Amino acid sequence: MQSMLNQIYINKNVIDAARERMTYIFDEFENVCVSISGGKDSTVLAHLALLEANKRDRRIGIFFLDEEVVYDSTIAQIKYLMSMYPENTVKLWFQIEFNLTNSTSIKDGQLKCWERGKHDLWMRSKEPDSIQYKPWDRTKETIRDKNKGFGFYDALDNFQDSRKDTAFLVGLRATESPNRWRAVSKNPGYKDVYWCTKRKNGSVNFYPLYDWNFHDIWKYIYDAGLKYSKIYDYQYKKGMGLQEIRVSSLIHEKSFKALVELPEFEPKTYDKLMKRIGGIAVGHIYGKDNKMLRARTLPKNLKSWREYRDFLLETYPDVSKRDIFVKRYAKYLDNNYVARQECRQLILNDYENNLPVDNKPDPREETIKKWRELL
Amino acid sequence: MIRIGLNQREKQKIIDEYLNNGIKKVFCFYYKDFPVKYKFDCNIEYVEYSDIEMYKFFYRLLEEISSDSLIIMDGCMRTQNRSELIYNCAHHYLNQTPHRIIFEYFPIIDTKEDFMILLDFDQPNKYKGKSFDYLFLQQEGILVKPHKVRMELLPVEVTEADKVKYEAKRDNLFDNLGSKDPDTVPRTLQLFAGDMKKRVIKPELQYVARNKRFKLENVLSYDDINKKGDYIVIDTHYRRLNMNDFLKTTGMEKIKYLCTTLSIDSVIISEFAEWKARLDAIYAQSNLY
Repeated sequence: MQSMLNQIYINKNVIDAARERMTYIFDEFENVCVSISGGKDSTVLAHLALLEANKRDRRIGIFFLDEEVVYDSTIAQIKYLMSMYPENTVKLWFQIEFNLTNSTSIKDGQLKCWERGKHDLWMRSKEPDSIQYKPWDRTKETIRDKNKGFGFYDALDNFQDSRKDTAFLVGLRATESPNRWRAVSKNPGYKDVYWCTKRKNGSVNFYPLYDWNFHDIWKYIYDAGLKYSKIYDYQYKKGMGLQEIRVSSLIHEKSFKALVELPEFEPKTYDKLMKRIGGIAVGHIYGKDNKMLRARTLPKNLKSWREYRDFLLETYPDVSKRDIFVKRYAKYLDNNYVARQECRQLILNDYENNLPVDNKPDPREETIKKWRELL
Repeated sequence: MIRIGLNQREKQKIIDEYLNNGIKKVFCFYYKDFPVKYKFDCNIEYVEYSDIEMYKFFYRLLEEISSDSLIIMDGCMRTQNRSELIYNCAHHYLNQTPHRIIFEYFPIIDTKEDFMILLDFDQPNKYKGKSFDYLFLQQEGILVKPHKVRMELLPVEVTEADKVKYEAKRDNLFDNLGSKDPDTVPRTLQLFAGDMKKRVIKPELQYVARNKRFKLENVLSYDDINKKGDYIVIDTHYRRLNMNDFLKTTGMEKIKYLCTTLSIDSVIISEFAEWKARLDAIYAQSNLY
C-alpha cells in the first residue's frame, strides 16, 4: 500500500529537533519513562533521553516488557541500555506472566511466558533485579480481549495506567508504521503537541523520533558509537532487504518469519525455543514458504480457498477459538479472495484479528468476468 | 529537469550544457538493456538499474553523491509501482544534489500515473502521495519530443473452421482455468490466433512473435531484437513495458500488426488505442521540442 504521508524537509535536522523535544518533555514532566525493545529505534530514543537526564542530574525509568521468547542479542542490548547511565536509570525490567500468540502451532496456540511452575522450561532465568509481580491493583486490572486473556498490550496498558503524570517515550517512527502514526497524531495529545497521545491519569505517550528515517537512526548509532543488536549484522550479512532487517518478537503472527533464520543467527536460542513451545520447527521450515504459514499457494488436494477455509474451520482443534472465527467470517463476503485471507488467519491462530481481512469482491472473479465479456 | 523522447546525441548535448553548473562528478543510472556511454571530461560513474538498491552501492553512493554531483536517470522507469524499494533508494541519492536530469523514451509505461515516477525522480518529496494532474506538466522543467506511435492493421483471413476452433479453445481455457491467473486466457488465445497467421508470413519480410514457435529465420522473438529495424508484429508482447522497449529498440513508430477478425485481436487493438490515447493526451499538454 502506498503511504500517503508526506515528508517535507525544513531547515532543521532530526537530531536537533529530537533534542528540543526531549528538553520540552523534561521541562514539562517530572516523571519520564522510556519504553525499550532492544531494537535500533528504542536504542536511539533511550540514549537521547538518558543524555538529557544526565545533563539535568535526574533519573528516568527504562521500561522493558520481557516476552521471554526473544533473541539473546535483544537481552544483551537491554542490559547494555540499562547500564549505560546507571545513576540516571530506574530499571523497570518486567518479567511477569502474560499470554503470547504462537502462530506456528495450532495445538500449542498460546504461550504463557514466565509461567509459574515451569521454571525449568523458561528460555532463561529471570533477572535478579527485575520486576516479577504485577505492581498494580489487581482488582482494577484491565484486559482488552477476554478470549486471549492477559496479553502483552494488557501488561503495557496496566503498567502505564498505574503511573500518574508520566511522560512515556516510545520509539514510533511515522515512516515505519504510517497507519499507526496517522491514528496517534490525529489530535494534539498534550497542549498543542501532535507527536504524542493522551493517556489516563495525566500521563502522555510521546514520540520524539516520529520524523526520523531509517538512515537517520543508523547515522545516530554510528556517530554516537552506540552498540546495537547483533541480529542486524546477521541480517545485513545475509543480504536481507532494508524492510526485512528488524529485530522482532519470534512467534506471533507478524514475526514468525524470523524463525527461518534463527538457527543460523542464534543456534542456542533456537534450541531453547524448540524445547519451550511446539511448532517452532514448522516456523523454521515453512516461515517463508508460500504454501504453509503464508497461505499464498493453495494445497493441491483442494479446489478453492473457500474449500480450504471450510476444511480449516472444521478441523480447528480449539473449539472455543473456532467459534470466534465462525462468527467473524459470517460477516464477510464469501469469495476466494476473502477466503484466502481467512485461511491465513486460521493457520496463524489469529483469533485476535491482528491481520485484518480485506473484505471486498474477488478481483480475480472481476477479471474473469471482464475477459468473458471481451473474448 | 525531465526530457522525454530524446536520442543519444540530443541527450549528450543537454548534459554538455548542464556541466557548466560546476559539476564535479556525474552518476548515470541506466537500464541494462539500454546501456549508455556519454563523452565528456568530467568524472562519470555508470550504475546499472538493478544495483540501485544493492548495499554495496547504496551506502557508498550516499557518501559520494554531494551537492556538486549530477545524477542522470536514463530510462529508469522500469516498474509501475511508485513505492517500489528501488525507487525509494534512488530518491535518497536524488535528495543529495539539486542537479538531476531525467531521460525517458515514453512519458508513461501504461497509465498516466506512471508519469509521477518521473516527477518523483525530478522533485523527490514534492509530489509524494499526489496523483497525476496535467497541470504538473507545466509546473516543472519538462520538455517532450513526442513519439507518435500508430498501428497499421494487415488483415489476415480466417476460415469458419478456424473460428470454431478458436471458440472451442477459448471455452476450454475458461472451463479449466482453476486457480490460474485469468490473464493467461488472452495470452494463450493470442498465441493460438497467432498460429493462424503463419500462412501469410512472407520470407522476404521480418516478423516478431512472442516466442520462436514458428521456427522460421525471419520470425524473431522480442528477446532477440536488439537493433533498429522494421518488423511486422504477429503477436504483441503481453507486458506493456516490453512492448515499449521493443518500440524504443527498433525505433518503429508504426506497428504493422497482422490482424484477424477473432475477438482477441479486437482486444489487442482497443488496448493499444487506449494506451495511445493516454500517451497523446500527455504529449498534447506538455511543452514540446
